[in-house]
Amino acid sequence: MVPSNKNTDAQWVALSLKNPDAFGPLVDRYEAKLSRYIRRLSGLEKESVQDVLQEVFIKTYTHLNDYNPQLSFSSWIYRITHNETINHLRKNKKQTILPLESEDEESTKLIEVLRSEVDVEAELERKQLIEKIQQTIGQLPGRYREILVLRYMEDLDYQEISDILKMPMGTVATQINRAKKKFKEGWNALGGS
Amino acid sequence: MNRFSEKIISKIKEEKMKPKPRWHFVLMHVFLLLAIVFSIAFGSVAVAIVIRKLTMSDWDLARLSLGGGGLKPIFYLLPYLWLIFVGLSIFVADKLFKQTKTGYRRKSWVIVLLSILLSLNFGYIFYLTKFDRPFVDTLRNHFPLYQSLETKRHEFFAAPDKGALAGKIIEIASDDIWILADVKRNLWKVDVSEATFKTEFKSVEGVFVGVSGEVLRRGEFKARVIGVWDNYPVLVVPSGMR
Repeated sequence: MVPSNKNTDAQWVALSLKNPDAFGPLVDRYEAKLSRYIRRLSGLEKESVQDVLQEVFIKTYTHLNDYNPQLSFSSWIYRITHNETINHLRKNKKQTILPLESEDEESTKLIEVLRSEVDVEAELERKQLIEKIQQTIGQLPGRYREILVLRYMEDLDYQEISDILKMPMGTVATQINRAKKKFKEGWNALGGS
Repeated sequence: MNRFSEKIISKIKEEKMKPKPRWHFVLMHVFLLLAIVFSIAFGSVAVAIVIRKLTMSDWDLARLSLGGGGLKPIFYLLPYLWLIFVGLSIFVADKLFKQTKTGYRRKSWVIVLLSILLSLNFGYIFYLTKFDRPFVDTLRNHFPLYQSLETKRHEFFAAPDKGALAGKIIEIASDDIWILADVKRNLWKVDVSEATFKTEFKSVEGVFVGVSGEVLRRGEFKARVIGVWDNYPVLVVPSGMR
């Protein structure tokens, strides 16, 4: 197999098993995505995100032979990232704040989804709205926050989320609905809009 | 490659890291599958024991000794410990199955239903082949707590004043008189001259029986119906009484 940018993830995995240099393109391909995901999931600073990301790629490399081609490589590496991030948070017992930038597309999508769940006064400024959403999400149990990030910020479908969180697709749908409901309850508990 | 990927590749090379061999993961998977099989097998043994305890309980005798309606004996005599073990094994099998490569994609109720069906199926086979007996015997012989639980359960059947007497034949004194040690370790002289037998069995010393009838006087019992308990229930009899 000749290394090429057009190679699929599975082909790069096969090449990496023979030569570690072939792992580089996989790192390049996923670095930005996973870095964003870790930040959204954990709210960690850039340096800590880089530390977790390094652990993710090292673990991915040492576990390449465990990769199951029945899954997409993307779901598999997201799962490793998810687990490593949660482990990191457990070890450091850090309170997390979901980073929502008012301008980026993914944040906007989540903000709009959550906004549609609750009554928001028209005069509430976007900055205040974001702060309030962050505050409400901060009080949600971790599993609800995770699923909201995967669905609305990472824009993944139910099958991918099912493979990352290791739960049936039906449960994914239920969890998303529960997360929205919990968000609404949390929002109202904080005094509504 | 960018700086970050170069850093990762350098670390891999400097620390001479290698992907873990495939057999390592295959072995882990095999252990996981074995653990699932073990869990289902344990559940099946528990099912076999539940069936045995239910089929061997003398419900007529239980109704006499416990009184009340038809449900009361069932409430008292259900083998709760083993039912808990059945539930536990199904729970563990479900959790383990979810750890397999794509097991998490299956709904829990499907896995639980499948585990129940397998446990019932193999449990019945184990019951027929008496595969469960060594497990119970081991528990009885090595775990005094389990033995006392069983003894307590059998004590439900010792209510001679209510017409129920269960125990072990210590001696066949004559065609009409047996000496019985009941489950509370009391000795009884049982008149079997007018008794009917629920099933045919060889009345010899050491056999466990359930007898319904009435107390004639202290230590003497008139048997009306006798049923065998197979050679299964535990009965602690002081050595001098054997």
